[in-house]
Amino acid sequence: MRSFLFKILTFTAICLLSFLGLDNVISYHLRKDSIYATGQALTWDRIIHSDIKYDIYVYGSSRARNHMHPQIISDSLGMSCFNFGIDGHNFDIQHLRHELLIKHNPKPKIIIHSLDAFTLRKRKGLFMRNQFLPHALSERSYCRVMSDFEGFHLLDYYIPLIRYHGRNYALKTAYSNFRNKIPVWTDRINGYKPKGPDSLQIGVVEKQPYEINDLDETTIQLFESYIKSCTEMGIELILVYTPEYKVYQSNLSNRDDILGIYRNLADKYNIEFWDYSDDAICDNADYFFNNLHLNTAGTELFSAQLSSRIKAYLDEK
Amino acid sequence: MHFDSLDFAIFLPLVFAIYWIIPRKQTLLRNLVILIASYVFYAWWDWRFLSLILFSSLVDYFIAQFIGQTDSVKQRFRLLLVSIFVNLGFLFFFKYFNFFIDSFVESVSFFGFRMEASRLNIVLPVGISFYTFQTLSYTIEVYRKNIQASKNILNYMAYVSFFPQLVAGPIERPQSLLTQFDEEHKFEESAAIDGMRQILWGLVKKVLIADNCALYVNEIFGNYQDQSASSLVLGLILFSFQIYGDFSGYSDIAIGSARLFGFNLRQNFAHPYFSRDIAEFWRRWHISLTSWFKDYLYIPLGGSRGNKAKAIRNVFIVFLVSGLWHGANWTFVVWGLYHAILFVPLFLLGRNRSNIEAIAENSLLPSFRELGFMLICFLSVSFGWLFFRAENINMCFHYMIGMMDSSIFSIPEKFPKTLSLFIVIFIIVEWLGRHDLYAIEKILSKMSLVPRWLVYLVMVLAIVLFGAPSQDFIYFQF
Repeated sequence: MRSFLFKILTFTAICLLSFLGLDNVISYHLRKDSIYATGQALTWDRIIHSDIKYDIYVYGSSRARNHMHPQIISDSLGMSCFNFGIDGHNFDIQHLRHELLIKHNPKPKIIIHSLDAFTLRKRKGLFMRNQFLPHALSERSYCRVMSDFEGFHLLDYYIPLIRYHGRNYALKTAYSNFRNKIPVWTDRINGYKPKGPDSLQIGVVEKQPYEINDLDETTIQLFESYIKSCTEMGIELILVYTPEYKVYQSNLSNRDDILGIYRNLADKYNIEFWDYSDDAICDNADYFFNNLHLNTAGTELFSAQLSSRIKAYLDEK
Repeated sequence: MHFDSLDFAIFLPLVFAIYWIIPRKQTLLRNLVILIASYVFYAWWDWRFLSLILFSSLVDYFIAQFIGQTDSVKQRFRLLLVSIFVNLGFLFFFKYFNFFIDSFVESVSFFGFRMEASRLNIVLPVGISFYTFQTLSYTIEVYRKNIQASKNILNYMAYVSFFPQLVAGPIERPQSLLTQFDEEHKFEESAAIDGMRQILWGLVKKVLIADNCALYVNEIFGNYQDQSASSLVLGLILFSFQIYGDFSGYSDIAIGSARLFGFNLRQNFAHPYFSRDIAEFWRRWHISLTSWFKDYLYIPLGGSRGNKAKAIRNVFIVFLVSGLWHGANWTFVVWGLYHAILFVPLFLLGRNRSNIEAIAENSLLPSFRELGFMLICFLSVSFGWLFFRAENINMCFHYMIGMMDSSIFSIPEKFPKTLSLFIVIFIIVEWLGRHDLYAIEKILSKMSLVPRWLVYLVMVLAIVLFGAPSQDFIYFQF
């Protein structure tokens, strides 16, 4: 029996060592790829490896990512800016990103946090899981936050390599990057990527009325504690409800209630909340790629407006 | 709890450790551990159906006791009938009730009558077809006086529910498995290592071959109307490898797991795709079920004794019942019928046992003749899998029509290059190990330590990196 156990344990150890080695090779070739997982893995990598030194951080979902042009903001304010908007994710993951940014990097002077009606909801499944794979083993906070999502397997965060099981896209990308030069996305400007060509207007259509009645209480509390901690750290936090196409706005029956939550929290902690729901941009379909996302022209116009307002606000302050 | 799940990866070593910590003389205690572990294993799916196993086991235990205590032939036969009625009654209710109701309504409507039938919302207990047959074989063997009724209820219950083979076989006989529960088991390193090796090979078959094939097969069968003829053919070929990898992989893991506890289960697959005719295929495919039907259905019906017509009738009955055993659907009945039709000509010509000897016994490669027969047999079996995989007869019909198209000469829309490579390697390994209980049994044990372990490592890495997301074992639905 002893001999059997010794052999089994030795072989298990060899397997685990091989797993670890391969895991490192695969993860490295994914996290350095600016195209893999729409560049989000690289952004996480820069965050975790303390490679972020900017004065202004932009947070939010795809609406943050598409609506705020870091170069325009930077040029207008004379401060460096990076857009950390993350497609398809609500505040829970946005907060994880913030937490890691603060943990591994110098704190910013200003955070512009783009909000939308979905920010305080909780997704069931983990959207675009591929972006989290390369750091799942090394970054412990991932495990804590991801455990709330469907499809979570604890061992993925403790045993090397097994989280890549069945992840053909990730494996193929890593293999391709291993054989060739790791690709670099050239049209990215500090995290910002234009949503699409000017005045394409895909999806600018009327939708059926709907209601969001599943805001997550824990996420709301997390959001409040986040505002509190930013205030305590002396970070200027500006909440922004960026433009939505006007026709679409009226479809959400409890839109005012959701905005009321943001407004109340901003009042409570004496921070800025800028609602662009009634801005002239919202009436003009030419500025929209779809109902929720501005196109390039819309983004440039909005970013310029927002920068001027921040400048005025800071000057006033 | 699936064999390819992390749950099982934790469960198995845990039970292994508890089992072997118990002193060798404490056979009862060890069997108790096996019994509890088996019930936990089963309850992982649905604890409610444990009562069914428990009830079925107890009924057969006591009936066998009564059979053993009486010499009256009539009384013994009546008791056997009670056992058969209870076991098949459960099987009928859970598996076939809705099927027969639907079929009855359809046949009545065929003659112009309208009938409303209410179906029952019945959940099929996992593995019911397997453990029902295993308990039945026990009472039948006691009735035939081939074995004594077990005096130890714990050993008997452990025999019925032994977790490695509880949900998908191999279907064991009391003479071989129940007796092993009465024996003291001494840990044998070589057996345990062999068991681990067989588990590993089973995982390769299941995760690397079957689950990867399933991805393509599901897509092709899911949209068969939009596929080219060549894709439909590819779908069938891939399904042939899927079902073989899935079921024989399960059997390998079951046999390997049992060996870790010192138990020997029977071989369930003997490289069936290297068969040269359909009779040989059935001697090599799902051996435990085929032999069960032979011993408890074919021979009692008269087997090949008597006139040819009666023998052919018996062959048809066995294949039809075997088809129906697999599932409550007319597709399985047609599948059974199809195999009976393939088998009967060999039977009539007296050539159903002409390929008893091992293929290419003294050579590395088969002769062209053997290769040709193997290919014909494989293609015939693959075609038959259409009835097995299709959801209904209508789908089979349209799938067949779809294959009869000039696009059969085109390259399939989605040709699985990497998977094809895995399948080619798999076939080569299976061929090299065709004389052994499982393909890598002796090939690897002949190697020295370092290359052998290197091969194990490559297999583990291939499972982790290239294995497809877990799919349910096909035979769990039976």
